Amino acid sequence: MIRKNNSQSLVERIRIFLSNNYKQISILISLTIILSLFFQRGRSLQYSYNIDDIAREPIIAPYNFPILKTKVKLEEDLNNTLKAEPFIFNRKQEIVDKQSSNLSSFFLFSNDIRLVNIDLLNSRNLVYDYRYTDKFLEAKSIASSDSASLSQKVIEFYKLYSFAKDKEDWNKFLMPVSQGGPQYSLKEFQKDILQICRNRWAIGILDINESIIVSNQLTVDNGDIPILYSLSELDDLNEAWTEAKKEITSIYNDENDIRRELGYDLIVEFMIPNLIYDKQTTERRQNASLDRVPRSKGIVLKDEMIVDANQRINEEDLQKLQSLAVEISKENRTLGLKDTFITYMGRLLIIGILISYFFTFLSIFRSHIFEKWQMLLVIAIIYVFIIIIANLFVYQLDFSEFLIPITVAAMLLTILFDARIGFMGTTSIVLLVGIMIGNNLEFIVTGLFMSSIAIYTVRRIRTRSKFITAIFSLIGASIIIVLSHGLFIGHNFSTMGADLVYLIVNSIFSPIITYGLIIILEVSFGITTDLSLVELLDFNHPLLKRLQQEANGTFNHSVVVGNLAEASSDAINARSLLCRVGAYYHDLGKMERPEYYIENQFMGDNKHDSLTPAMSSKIIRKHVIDGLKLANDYGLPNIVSDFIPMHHGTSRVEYFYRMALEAVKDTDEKVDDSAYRYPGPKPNTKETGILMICEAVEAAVRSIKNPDILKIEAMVDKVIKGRLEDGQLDECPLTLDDLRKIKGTVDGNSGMIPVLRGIYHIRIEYPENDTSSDNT
Amino acid sequence: MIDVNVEIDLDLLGIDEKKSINILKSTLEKELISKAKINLIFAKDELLNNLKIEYFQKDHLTDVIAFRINNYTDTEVEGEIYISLERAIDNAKEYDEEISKELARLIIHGTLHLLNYKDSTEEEKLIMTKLENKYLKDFDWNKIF
Repeated sequence: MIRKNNSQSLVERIRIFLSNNYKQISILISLTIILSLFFQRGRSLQYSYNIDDIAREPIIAPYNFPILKTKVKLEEDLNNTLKAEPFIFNRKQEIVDKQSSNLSSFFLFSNDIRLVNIDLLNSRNLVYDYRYTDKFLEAKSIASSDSASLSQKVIEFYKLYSFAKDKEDWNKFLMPVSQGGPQYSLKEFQKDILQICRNRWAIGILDINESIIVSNQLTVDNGDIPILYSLSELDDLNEAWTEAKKEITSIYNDENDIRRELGYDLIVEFMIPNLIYDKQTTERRQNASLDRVPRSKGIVLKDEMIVDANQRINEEDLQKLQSLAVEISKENRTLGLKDTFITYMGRLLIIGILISYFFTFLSIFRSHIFEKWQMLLVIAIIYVFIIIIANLFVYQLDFSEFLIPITVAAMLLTILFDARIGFMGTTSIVLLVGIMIGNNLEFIVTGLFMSSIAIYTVRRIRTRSKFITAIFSLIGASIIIVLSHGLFIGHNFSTMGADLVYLIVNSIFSPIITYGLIIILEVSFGITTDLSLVELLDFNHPLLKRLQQEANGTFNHSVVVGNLAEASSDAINARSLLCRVGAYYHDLGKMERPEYYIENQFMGDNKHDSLTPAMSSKIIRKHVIDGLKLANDYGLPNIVSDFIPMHHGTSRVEYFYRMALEAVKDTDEKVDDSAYRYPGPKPNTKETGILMICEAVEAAVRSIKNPDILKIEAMVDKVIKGRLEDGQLDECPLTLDDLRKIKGTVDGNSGMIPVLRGIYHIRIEYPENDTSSDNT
Repeated sequence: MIDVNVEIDLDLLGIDEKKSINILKSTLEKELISKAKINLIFAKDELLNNLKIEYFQKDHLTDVIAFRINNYTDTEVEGEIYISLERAIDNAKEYDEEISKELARLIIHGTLHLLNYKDSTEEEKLIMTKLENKYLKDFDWNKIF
């Protein structure tokens, strides 16, 4: 809309807007760019459906593409392939030969020891026989050398065959027959054991555990032709031992036969695997055949209809759609620079539209927030926070979209700003996230519903317990929304259950996260929420305590003004808590010289009697500056300390101004108006405007002698009119209608007159009744 | 027309401004001055000390400083009188006088300076003190502080 008659051209106005708001605009542009980084690239999103969803439009294949197998199917196929590929083993005859000879040398060695044992026995007998002859010494030396050679051999034997060490049975085995050694034929025993081992070797003993062999069949390479066995045909070591034990038991059927134990020991020692696993070849073959497993199961041709509009999507359709999405993203990845740029522009535009929806609202209806770039930064941070979490949950961690804490944004915006900003902001964030995770309408509806419940519960938050209320309300809302979606779309109960669990987890954690973030954002951006304001209401706050002790009259005045201001702001839906807090702290400066203010003069002279009006006015005006200094020293938030200068605006210290006029009335001198005016600034919010009126009304009404309701009403009118005419309310957004509501009516129950009625205990009596003096 | 403007440091409140003005005006009237424009400033030691250093190159505490702004020969008296309340209180203690009387004396003393009375010699001092005592007898300085 170009209005030619306007003195500024359109270009000029745009230039001015840009130069005034360049910070805001750069925040918004960077927000758009940051958000775009977290959006999934390109068009792969447009076909995101779930099973049993209804197709919103007919979907036609844009080009040929293969239908991918589902994850489960693909895994199954790969598994089968692995099973089909036999593990490869080499049969090693040399192991058999070596072990056989090892066994015979064991028996030879044991026989050797036995012979030496006999020699020692004989030589000891000789020593005994020759004990009285001269051959005694010779015999003794022979015996000791035999003993030495025996012990040397025994040590060597146990070193070689450590399995036999420290075993009573094996010690006996080495003894000659006369000394309790083996009564049986050693040759036979050796032959039996060797036979048992050979039986096992003939079948084959695997050198790896059967449980780690995934294939159904095994290939055994005998040196010439590989032979295929089934797994059950061959034994691993454990099975071979079991079989060998059975054989021993059947050969030596006497339970007490020592050869059972000894034989088994020998078998465990000498019967080692003769089929050696060829790991390298096996794995190479496995990988080769895995690579040959097809990933797709058919193809969709260009222009083939995948699903028609309004048709329920079954598993097969879904698989086709997902394959299409993969194909599209593959296409996108291979897009040229130009196409990449075009899709990116599209992303920027769609994000821009969704963001501008909210920020236009801000700039028009909440311009005081839009004008502060810090506030825009807070909002931008909330956007980015939610989008990052959503991207993380849905794309990186593969969580359910119902875990995205949309309600955190809703509650943050509501508590930090107000409910309307909360609602508009969340709508835009929910839409952004909904589009980002793939045009997910179910999520959008759920998000909007949950957010509006969250906003409703925290819209007038004054106590932390509201967060508990929020948790329970959100859980209730979760149940309702899951049920309604479930019944509408026809989910089964297990899907609904899972969704419900996610939403409940979300409901429990969102208020907790919100509480934490509020503290951080409050401190870092100097925002004062109602939660912190409530703390300032405490009469034990050091400033209020001091005010009560040092300037009791002022303290009481502040409390009364607080009541008036809260009632007034309730009447026009302003921030009543802020009004009350502002009222409590607005006259802090009077603590410095309390006796110079009428409300603290309980006895004695008026201190101003000895002063000229100019000096008196100077003292009175000083309380604004003193108050600001105190507020600064005690770290009051700016939003509260603003009330200190603004409650007087630039109004005149009327009483002393009039005295000054009186003093110069007979002369030609003039009174300097500016010496009697407060420094300002004028109230610039509804709340400060309300306080200005209320505090003036309180003082004025107190000065009425024999107050009745009509006098009070007239006085309120006079005060409001006076402030309006003096231009004190020029900069605050109060409308005339607001002023009417703030004033309230004599018989109403909102606004300030009913409060004044209560303070002065006035029943509504009109002078005509002639009982006006009965003001108890 | 005698116009007296009083400034009191806000940390030193408690001085009866109107009586101070009256004492000043009465002094001028006794000295037959009918036209004057005078600022009477009650300040702290710090300010007076700084003035003393700046205009008289002397660094010591002083109880009153008077500046004649126009020429002594003009019929209209224009000037400023600075009085240190702290000095007044200390002096009163030292001479066992009432603070109010001491303050009144300082106002008269300062005014006399504006009218070109001096106290650099013993003789001059004696004249001033006599005048001060005389005026103090006539004026109402009770409860000026």
